[in-house]
Amino acid sequence: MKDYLWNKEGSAPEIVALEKTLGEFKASARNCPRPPAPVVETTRSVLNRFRPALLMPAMAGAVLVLFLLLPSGNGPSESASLGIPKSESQIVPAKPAPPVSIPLPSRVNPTNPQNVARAANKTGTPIKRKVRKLRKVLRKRTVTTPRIKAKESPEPLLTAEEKEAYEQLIEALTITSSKLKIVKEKVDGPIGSFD
Amino acid sequence: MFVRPFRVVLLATMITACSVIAAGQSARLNFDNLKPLEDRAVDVVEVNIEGKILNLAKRVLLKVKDRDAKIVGEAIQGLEAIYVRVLRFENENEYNIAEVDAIRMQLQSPGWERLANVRSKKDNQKIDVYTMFEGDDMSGVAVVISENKSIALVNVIGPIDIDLLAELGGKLNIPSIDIETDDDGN
Repeated sequence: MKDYLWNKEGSAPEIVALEKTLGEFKASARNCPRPPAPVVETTRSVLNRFRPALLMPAMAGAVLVLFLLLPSGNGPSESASLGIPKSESQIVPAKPAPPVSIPLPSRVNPTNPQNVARAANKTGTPIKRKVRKLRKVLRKRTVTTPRIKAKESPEPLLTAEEKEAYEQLIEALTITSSKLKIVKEKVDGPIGSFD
Repeated sequence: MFVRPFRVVLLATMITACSVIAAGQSARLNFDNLKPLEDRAVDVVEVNIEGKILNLAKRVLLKVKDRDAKIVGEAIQGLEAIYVRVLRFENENEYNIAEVDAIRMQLQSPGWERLANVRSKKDNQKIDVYTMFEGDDMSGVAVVISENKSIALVNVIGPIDIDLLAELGGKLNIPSIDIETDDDGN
């Protein structure tokens, strides 16, 4: 390497001319490229930091859910049920599908198509059932203020003691008034008979 | 000289107070001599209502949403007590009339005034109504009715509207009341 570099000694004119020509491009503080700026760690949220990590499982989960929510391939597909083959390989006399019996509740009128559809929805996929259960639970958890209907009772409600006291007083007053009535009739009777 | 009038006034006050207290106590009749008759009677009705029970009943009577109940409730506001005895016998002459006359004798004490006296040969009916007054205020009523097969005694302490009760004639159109029970069924 020392043989290659010229140390400004010697008398080769070609080398001197070449060195002068190339001297314009010699390294200096002005044209020296700046080192790259240090990478500063910016504050990122935990979610952003793990976004790439979460993205893949989330996408996989979404695909799985979509797959499960779509009509399952076990039963006859729509096209199959219509008798349209998907491809040539399917042009095989397929076995007739067993009749699917949907248990209808007793109160559902099977002649009404809406009721039948509603009943059919009840026998959905497990995910649907779980979603329905979850909704039910959430509905139950929501606190609803009970409606307090003002009951206008014509008579007051009494305790046993009050009732007993009341009945005793009524009995005493009834006897007293009946006896006083007898007296009144006896006293007023002869006078009234003279009128 | 100044001591004597003071003593006279004090003595007069004490006598008046004692007479008022005595009058208040005498409105209550003693029914103890009817105890032996209760064993012989077929039906016995005994009602003693006074003090807290009476106050409770009076409050209930005013609480009931009924016109008659309100009228009766207001008529008996000053009532202090009611004692009732009704004895019915299966046969005639099962009781000695002297036992009832002993109660009638109590009404001969000072304070009582005879309001009505009925004697009827039919069923040997004897009716006596006595009242007691403190000034202008009625302090007691006593009704004694004796017949061949029955005895009825009513003793009312305190002011009461006799005419109103007589008009009601034993038909108090006061409704029966629902009872509120706790979980224990008490």
